[in-house]
Amino acid sequence: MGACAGDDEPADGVVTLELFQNKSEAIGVYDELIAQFEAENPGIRVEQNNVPDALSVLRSRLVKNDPPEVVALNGDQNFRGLAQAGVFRDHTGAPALDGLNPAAVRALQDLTQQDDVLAGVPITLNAQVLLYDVDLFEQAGLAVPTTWDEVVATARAVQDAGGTPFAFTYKDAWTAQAVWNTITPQTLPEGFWDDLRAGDATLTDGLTEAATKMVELLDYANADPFGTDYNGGNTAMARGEASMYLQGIWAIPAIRAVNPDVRLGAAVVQWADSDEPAAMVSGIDQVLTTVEGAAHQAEAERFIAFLTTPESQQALSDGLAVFPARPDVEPADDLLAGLKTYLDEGRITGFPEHQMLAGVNLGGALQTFLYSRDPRSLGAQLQAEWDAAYERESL
Amino acid sequence: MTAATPTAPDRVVPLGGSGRPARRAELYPGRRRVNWWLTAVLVVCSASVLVPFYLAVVTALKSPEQLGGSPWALPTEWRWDNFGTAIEVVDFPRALGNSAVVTAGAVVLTLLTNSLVGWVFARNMDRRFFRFGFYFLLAAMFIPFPVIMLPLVKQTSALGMDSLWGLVLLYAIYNLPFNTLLYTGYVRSIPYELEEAAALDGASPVRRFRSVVFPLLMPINATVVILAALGAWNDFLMPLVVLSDRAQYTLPLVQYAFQGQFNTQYSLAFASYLMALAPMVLVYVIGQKWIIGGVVRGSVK
Amino acid sequence: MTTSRRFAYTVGAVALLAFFAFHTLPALQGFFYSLTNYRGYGDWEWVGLKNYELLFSDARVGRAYRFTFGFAVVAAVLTNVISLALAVGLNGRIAFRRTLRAVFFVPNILSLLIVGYIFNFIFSSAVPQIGSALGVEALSTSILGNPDLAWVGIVVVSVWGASAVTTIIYLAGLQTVPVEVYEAASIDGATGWRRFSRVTFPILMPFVTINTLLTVKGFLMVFDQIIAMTGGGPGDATRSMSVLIFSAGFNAGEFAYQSANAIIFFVVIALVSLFQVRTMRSRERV
Repeated sequence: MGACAGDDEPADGVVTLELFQNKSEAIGVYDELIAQFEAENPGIRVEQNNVPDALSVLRSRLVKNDPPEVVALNGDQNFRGLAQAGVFRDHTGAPALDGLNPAAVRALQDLTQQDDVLAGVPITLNAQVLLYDVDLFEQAGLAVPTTWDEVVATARAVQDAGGTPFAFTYKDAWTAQAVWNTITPQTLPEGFWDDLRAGDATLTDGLTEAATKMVELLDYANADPFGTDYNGGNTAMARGEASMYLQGIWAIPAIRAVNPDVRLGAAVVQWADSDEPAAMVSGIDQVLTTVEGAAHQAEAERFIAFLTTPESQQALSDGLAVFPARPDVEPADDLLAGLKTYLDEGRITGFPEHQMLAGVNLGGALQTFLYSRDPRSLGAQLQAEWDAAYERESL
Repeated sequence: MTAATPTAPDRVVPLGGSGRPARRAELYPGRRRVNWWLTAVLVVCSASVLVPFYLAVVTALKSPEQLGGSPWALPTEWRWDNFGTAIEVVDFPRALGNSAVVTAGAVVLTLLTNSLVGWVFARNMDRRFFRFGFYFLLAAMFIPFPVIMLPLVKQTSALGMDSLWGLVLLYAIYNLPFNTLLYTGYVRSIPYELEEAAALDGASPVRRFRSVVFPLLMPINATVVILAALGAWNDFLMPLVVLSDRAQYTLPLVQYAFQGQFNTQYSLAFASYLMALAPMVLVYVIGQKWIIGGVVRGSVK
Repeated sequence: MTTSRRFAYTVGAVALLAFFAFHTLPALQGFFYSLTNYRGYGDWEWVGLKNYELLFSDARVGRAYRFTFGFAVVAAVLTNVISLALAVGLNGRIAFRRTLRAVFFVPNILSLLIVGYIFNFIFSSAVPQIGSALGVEALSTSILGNPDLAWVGIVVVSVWGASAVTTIIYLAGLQTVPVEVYEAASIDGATGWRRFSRVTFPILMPFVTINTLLTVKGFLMVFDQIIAMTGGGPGDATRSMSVLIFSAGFNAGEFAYQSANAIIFFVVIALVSLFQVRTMRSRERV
């Protein structure tokens, strides 16, 4: 697995593609899919390359003008930055898109804020939900909460019965982002991020409601939320030590790894004080794309199209515990199958953190504000960082 | 470190909040009596070094269920196979091999090149070129690594040096200023006549260095070897930014890269940590006196 | 001797060239980038001193300096005090001297990253366990999750790691104190603390200088243990300059901006080092 895999021109007519991907959990699934693909396409070999800090490495490869043939990344603000810099090829009308959920394709365009360009092909989606322990809920006779008031009432009921309502894991900054991503979208006014970029809205005002609710939930937290990390939270959920958990669906396999018998449920909550049905916060778990100027474009696109066939989509969904980008593939996991209706009906909203500028330390600001329990401080701090980052980026 | 060394009576500050009150130990040179109070205090203080190891070992040997209990408790059932699993999960042999290659490479290349450069500089300090070069190297010691880190990443990857041998080369180069300082100081204490005699016999500079000078540099060579080995073996930041292929990750880097994959399995993580620390501890147990001596000589210069 | 001279110039030139190419050149490149808006890839433009202007109003940078220097001073003082005490103890007429000396030196040979991971567990699990067993509120939660106390955790690990070498250097220093000096002091009736402060400490002064220089310089670069324990958090309570330059420079696409940050950091470090050497030298002469 050299850095230059795929550069060498084939003597035997075999084209080698490098699949550069940033999801270590996916190594096994990709290996299996690659084996199938190679069996069907004898002229193409695919070498998988997964490194931690994949984005830094990818950036240095771009500088070196040694781009990998196929890139698989998480659809986040880093991907947006690269897409907006014109690094990726336009995939509008690509064969790989046939049969994919239009909502997933639109989610990618929303992410990159490009209407006429499609920077890649979304192959899997994730979601940010309220996870709960089905056994604990049944024992206590609790209904699944779907509004903010119900969440608070449920939490109080658990606490009154001597239980721990929520597991929060604020030692890891990114998990504070997970909670914030879940609660924030519905509490923001329509078109908030566009207004913010236009200077017609501020984070100082916009984030107060979500921040207030995050602080209120701390009253129902585990013993040491600021000393507990992601692994600790997963362990607590696995052992039935907490009833509810605000995390992405990627936590489900991690929780089950500790205790395969744990019964988990998932709920989409309307966090705002509103009667409207809530949309599920969903993002693109893996987006496949090719780099402008990279070799073997045709073969690379063939591989990407292979990943969107129903069989591959099933393998990806079941292997990674994420949603397939095809509406006609059902996840084997009941928990995911239940949530998938939100995707099929297009009732989804993006991760708010993807709207942040790259230089804003969102996780850090969340940790600081949660510890101080001052809801106003979050928006103020983020607005200051936003302004500074905006100035730096517009140099 | 002989028994005849004088002793200084003194206050011992308790380490790490061990809660011991400060003690006075009155000792006079010439008295042979062992001060058991002082010994006891130091033994208690040494717990601050040993306790983390105790916790690491017991955690590494627990089963997932036992991890829920007290971290201080001994395992009720000793899970030695945690080590086997950890070896597989992180591909320990490969990481060990990478660390060994980088360390051995850095030690050999540093020793051979830096000693030669140090000797050449020491013997030519009367020439302006070398004086200037010497001060240039010394001045560079002020530049912290983070300053060159970002451009270095671009440069090494552009040159295809984002690999183990690239690291080896960088270590040898970055060790140069300090080692030149060490060697020049020492070479000046070696009588020039020895080299002159060899030169009159018609020995080439390389031969003179190899057969006359290098053997005389042995005390400093030991220091250079030890410092280069410790530096390369334990380094994290430079491999982190320079290496791009995961298959070439060194032991510390593997612990970092697998944080996500250890997931909730603290036992595996700790088994992996202990195995990553073990080789150097083993070397230390064997060559303790030599290593301490080498490090001290390097620091006091 | 012409072959000899040509040989010397070749060796010197190769060495200096290699050093220039892989150390000086990146430093110069860093300065070059600091005058651009380069992200590390793609197009870039000259922006003059804009990056430097923005640095001075960047609250993150201010906080990183405050943490880095506050940490370095506290950790250096603690390391030196503890090491001096340990060294004096180890130099005493104690049993198991070799074994004890060997044990206290162990932290020096270990990877600080891995030690950081182990201490992360200690602060998150082992210490709170004792804290709640003893009913001590402040210790029953992880200090690493507390923005006001997380730095203490970083200090503990750093002092733990650094004391090894510092102690051994002081021990070497103590062994240079001649027996006669003590005998003379004893005749004068100087004992205990008085003898330490009047006789031993002044003789150790050069070693204090070395150790202070070495520890401060090392602590200003603090990186590994932070990555292992807090990642710079909570918030940015433990984000050192090295961590800031690394994380923002690579991940947030602030390549040029953090290059400027690194250049200023270099100037600050150089000034601090010069200042340290000066004051220490002048004090030694007194």
